[in-house]
Amino acid sequence: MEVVSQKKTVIYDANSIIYYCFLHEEKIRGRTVTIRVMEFTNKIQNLTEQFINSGFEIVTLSGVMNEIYNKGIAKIVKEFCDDYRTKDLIGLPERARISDRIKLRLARKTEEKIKRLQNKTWFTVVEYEPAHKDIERVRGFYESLSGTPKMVEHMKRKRTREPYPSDVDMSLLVYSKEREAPIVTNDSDLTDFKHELESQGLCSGIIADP
Amino acid sequence: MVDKSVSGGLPKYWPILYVVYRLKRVYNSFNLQKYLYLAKVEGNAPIEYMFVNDYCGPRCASIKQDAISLGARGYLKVSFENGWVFEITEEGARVAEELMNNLPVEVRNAFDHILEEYSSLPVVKLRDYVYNDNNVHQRPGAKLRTRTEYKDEYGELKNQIKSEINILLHDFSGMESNANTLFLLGSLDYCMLVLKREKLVDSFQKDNLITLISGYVKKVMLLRELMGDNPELVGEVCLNDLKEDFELIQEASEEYKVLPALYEEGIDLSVFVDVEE
Repeated sequence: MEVVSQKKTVIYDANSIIYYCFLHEEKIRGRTVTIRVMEFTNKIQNLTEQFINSGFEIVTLSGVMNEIYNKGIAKIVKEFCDDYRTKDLIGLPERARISDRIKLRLARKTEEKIKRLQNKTWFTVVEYEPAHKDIERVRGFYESLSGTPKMVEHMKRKRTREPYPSDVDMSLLVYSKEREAPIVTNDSDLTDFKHELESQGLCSGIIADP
Repeated sequence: MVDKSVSGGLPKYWPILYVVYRLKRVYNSFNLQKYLYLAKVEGNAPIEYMFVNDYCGPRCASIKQDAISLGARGYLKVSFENGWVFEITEEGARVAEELMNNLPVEVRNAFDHILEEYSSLPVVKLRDYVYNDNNVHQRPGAKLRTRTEYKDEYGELKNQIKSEINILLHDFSGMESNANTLFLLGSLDYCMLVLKREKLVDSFQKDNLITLISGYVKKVMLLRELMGDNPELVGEVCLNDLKEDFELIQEASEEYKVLPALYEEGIDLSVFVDVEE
């Protein structure tokens, strides 16, 4: 958390924003349950509260917001509903399947919370187009790791054929360097290479959360 | 500058601007179309738009398109929440006032009366009113389907829609998860539960609800057909119109006490659990 104490701005990636907003109260058979992604929501809520109380501005890119609305929420809702612990949390029998209509309801509620988040004074969405050469520099860094045991292992876990992250993630790295603000993320494309990215000056910092 | 390209000195879009000017904000393009329809039929307003009978009510697709164009001209602010939202701008208000000077007082009065009477009425009620057989005012143009036409075919029709929904659910669940597939799956799944739960005895309501769902499912089927062998395209298309249709289905389902709206706050989630699943 050393980086946090030195900066007044932090950058959130898509998952950090979604997990922060994925916190809903629902009534199920008369009792109220809290819907959240167990490992992540509480931690990002606490971290965000610390940032706000310390006067930080939380920033993200418009590209990140598009990713959230197009795919991000759907992906997290699906992961949440596929998790065996979820049924237990919301009191559904083990054999029951969480229906698509309930998934849509959760997605809609999350989307509405994210829209409300955009009205907060401490949260800013920035239009940002990184320079091509900066993106190529980041891409070059990841490509240079191709074939290394660390990258092989990373790609295997991530089930991907490309060594480099999405365009949006690369933009976040470039923006972090330019803005001199760390990125809060749990994306293994970034967290697995935190030390390398930081030491090569490809970003200002990575706060791996949780 | 008011466009007076149409005979009679009024541009075709005048009633759109008039409605939004009067109400300041119109939520849902169905509302906009219904006001224009009622003003034309009941208020005898000189409205050029032609209406066809649709599952959502008398419909004229060019009204929505023209309203969106008025947005591009700066007369309206157009946005999309759960349905299209049209708001008057300063420039739009100025043009509307200019247009109003060319409107006969009796037309304005009749139009205002329609807006006053129906502006607080839910869309689905408005639709019920327009399609109500006892209402003598709503049969311009093509003949509307009679309420009893399906009477003995509800069961078969519901089974057919359910089977269409099942095909679509199967298709979309095999596609990559994104906001659009999640919406299509969730909305179709909701419609399926509505069909299962629906035991309406009022044939008017029953017909309305089933027709709404049937029309929606057909639209989704058309979308699926258009994607052909490229189902990944579903993530790229804009589903705003389908979302607006789905709002109407939820509204009808809630109004007729079949199932609460999916997005309603404070309801018990167990109402959406189907024990057969």
